[in-house]
Amino acid sequence: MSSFSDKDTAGNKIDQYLSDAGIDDLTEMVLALSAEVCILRDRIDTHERLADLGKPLTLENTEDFEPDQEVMAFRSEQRQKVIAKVLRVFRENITRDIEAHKN
Amino acid sequence: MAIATHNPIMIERSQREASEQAYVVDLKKFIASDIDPICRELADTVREVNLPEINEQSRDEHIVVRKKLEKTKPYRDWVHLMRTAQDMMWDSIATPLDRQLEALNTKADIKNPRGSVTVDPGFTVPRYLTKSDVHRMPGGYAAINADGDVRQGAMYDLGGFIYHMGGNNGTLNDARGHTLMSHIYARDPDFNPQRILEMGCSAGNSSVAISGYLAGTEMHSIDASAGLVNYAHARAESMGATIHFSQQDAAATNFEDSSFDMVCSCVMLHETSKHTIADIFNECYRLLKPGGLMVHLEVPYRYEDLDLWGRIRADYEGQHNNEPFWRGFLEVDLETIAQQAGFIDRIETYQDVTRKAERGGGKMREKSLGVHRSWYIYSAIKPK
Repeated sequence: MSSFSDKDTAGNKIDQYLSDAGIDDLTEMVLALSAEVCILRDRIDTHERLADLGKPLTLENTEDFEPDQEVMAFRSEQRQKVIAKVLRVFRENITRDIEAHKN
Repeated sequence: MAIATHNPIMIERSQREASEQAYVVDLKKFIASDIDPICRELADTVREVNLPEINEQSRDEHIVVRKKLEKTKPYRDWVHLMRTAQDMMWDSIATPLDRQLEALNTKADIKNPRGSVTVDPGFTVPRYLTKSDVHRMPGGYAAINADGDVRQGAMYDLGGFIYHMGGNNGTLNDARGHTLMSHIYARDPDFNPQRILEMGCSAGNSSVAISGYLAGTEMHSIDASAGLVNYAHARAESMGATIHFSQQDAAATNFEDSSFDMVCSCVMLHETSKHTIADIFNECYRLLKPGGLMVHLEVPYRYEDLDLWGRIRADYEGQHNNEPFWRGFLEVDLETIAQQAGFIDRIETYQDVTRKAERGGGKMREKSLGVHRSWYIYSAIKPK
């Protein structure tokens, strides 16, 4: 089974809601890549913390590492910064549009 | 047997998979906290500058504004962003799920269960649940791969945890069940039923929470999806709850007349049409003993409470999150439907969210405190 839905109420009408299909595809690719960047950052964070504890950076130690609340909050903050950078242009477009409507 | 405080059959995630899902949670949080407010400002601005035209039209104000927004790039980008975040959520679940599906199906094959699960091979899932994948969940409610398959239930359970961003009581995702019981105990501190029915139980999150308060009560939970009741049964058994699950249509069950002291549901009604809600209320009436209680818990606002952007967001749920009855439910007059079904002592309220219901405790309010702080409740009694 596909991991993406193919039964959508928007159906054929979807084109009228979306921007240029190529740009939309690119957005999905960039978001997927930024997810991978964040996953790697979490992995590096785990390794740094294991190293601080003097533990070898084995697959087993990496998988067994359980981030506590403080670590999870730190990682969430880092992810939010990455996401804010990736979506900066979205925010700016909306703000620009608000000004354009007012003028 | 005490109910477990964790769910042993929840999909297990590697560090990489947990990181991917954490990204989706943070992406959704960012959209809600940083993108949504400026979209609201954009909608208000479009309304303001087009006020003369809006006032001339007979259509709803928010539809006129939405039609104008649909021609703008920022709104279209927002729609695409929302859809993509939702699709990334399901995709992040599919990888660990597919790896563990065989093991999960084996775990779900419970020998000597306390409760039971009954799936009807001849059952036709209502068309309104098969037409699209509700919540954009691949396969929707209805997909089933084999006898005893739990795939859709497992996917829904972890998806619910991510979707609520941990705000609905962690991986148990069961604050709704506790809040429903809190309402019942506020109505009737001596509530002590012999037999109860839960409709639209989905992955069984609320089922187990409700069951935990009612030792000795015979509990039945139904859902239209085989994959969901199979999973809900396995989840309940592995947590120590005794519940009888079956695949049934809430509008036409096979239970006897006047055979339950309470019939309830959690976030089921918004997945159905106004017409089906009337059928479900009539079915609740038929199933309840005289003096029995009907309780339905739902999303924590009504249409009249929504501002301009809130109404546009409600349209999004119908148009893009495959929730075709979202707006219809928010506007439906449950009071009239319940009255026509014959119910008395009707209460329409917002119940404070709790993770532990107390007899005689729990607070009802006229106004919602908002998402994850209140749930809307409609409850009523069948006359004696």
